[in-house]
Parts: sequence; C-alpha cells; structure tokens
Amino acid sequence: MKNILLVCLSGMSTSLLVQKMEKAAEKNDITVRIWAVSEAEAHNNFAEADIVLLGPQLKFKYKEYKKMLGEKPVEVISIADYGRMQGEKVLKWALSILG
Amino acid sequence: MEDNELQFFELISNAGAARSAYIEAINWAEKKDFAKAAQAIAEGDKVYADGHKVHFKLVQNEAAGKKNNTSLLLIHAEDLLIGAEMFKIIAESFIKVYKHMDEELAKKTV
Repeated sequence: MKNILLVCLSGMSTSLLVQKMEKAAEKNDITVRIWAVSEAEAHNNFAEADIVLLGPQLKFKYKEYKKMLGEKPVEVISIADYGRMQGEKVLKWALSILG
Repeated sequence: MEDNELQFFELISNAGAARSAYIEAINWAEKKDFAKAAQAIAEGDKVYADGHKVHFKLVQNEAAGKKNNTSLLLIHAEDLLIGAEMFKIIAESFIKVYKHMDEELAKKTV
C-alpha cells in the first residue's frame, strides 16, 4: 500500500483534497493511505510517507523539503489542480511517480 | 461540493501560489540572482491577478445581495490574499536593498 502525505500551510485546504483523492481511490479500487498535515507537523510524518505533495502555497519551500526528504519523492501540486480540487488527477499523478 | 466552496479553493490556490512566488523572489535576491527575482515577482503578479478575479466576483455577489457562505475556508483564502499583498511589498523592498548592497560591495572591491 502506498502512503501519500499532503502538506499545506495550515492543513486545512489540503484536507478536502484528501477526501476527494480517497473517493477517487475507492472508485478505482486502489488501496492507499492519504493524509494532510500543516507545515508545522510535516516533519513528524515524513517517515510514514512514500511521497510528499506540497500545496502551491508552499512552492517556495520545495528545495528545503527536497533536502530534508533525500531520496523520497516530493512534488508541488499544480495551481489549477489544487484550485479545482482535482482529486482523481492528483491521485493518479502521485501514483505514477511512485510507479 | 458547493459552487462557492470551489471558488474559495481557486482563491486559496492562486493567492497561496502568489504568496509563495513573492517569497521566492526574496530568496533569489538574497542569492543575487536579480533576473530570477524579477521573474518570480512577475509570476506572482500573474497568479495574484487570477486570484483577484475570483475575489472580485465574490465581492460583487455580496454587493448584489447574494450572501457568500462565510466559512473558515474563505477566511483562510482572505488571509493568503493579504499575505500575498504584503510579501509583494516586502519582496520589492528586499530586492532594492540587495541590489544596493551588491553595488556598494562592487564599489569597494574596485
């Protein structure tokens, strides 16, 4: 099972995206764990995650996260997908990175 | 999901991305890469404008008597919008300061 961690400033806006991604996973019969945290909590959750997705409001921290996560993939969700809450698209994109 | 809520997310996404771009501009200025700093400001302006359009629609709705359902999400969106505006002012100021420092250092090393 893949573990996808979403991080944004307060953990609020990503929470809804998590719901939408979970719905998409259910629909497509994919077993996956998706959860959202605020930036302050992020580092406590890295160990459990296979991939870390940042909200577009955290793009400026991308390099910092990349350094912290080493080999673990970290990506920034696109403004359009985030703004339209494209759960299914984001889920499939994350899974395709994980291969 | 309510139509209103989608608008809030569009606002959060764009305002948040603008805020991030302006902070990136400061980071580029610190590295003395002023071309990239200017590029980041321009990128911030572009997404800020997209966010502003959404916001303006919400304001117009309210002015026309169509109440927006105020939620924590909308407050968060407004917060990011304010943050973007403030960081733009700060970023432009920082770029000026770093440029100035760079020029002064160049004079000293001649």
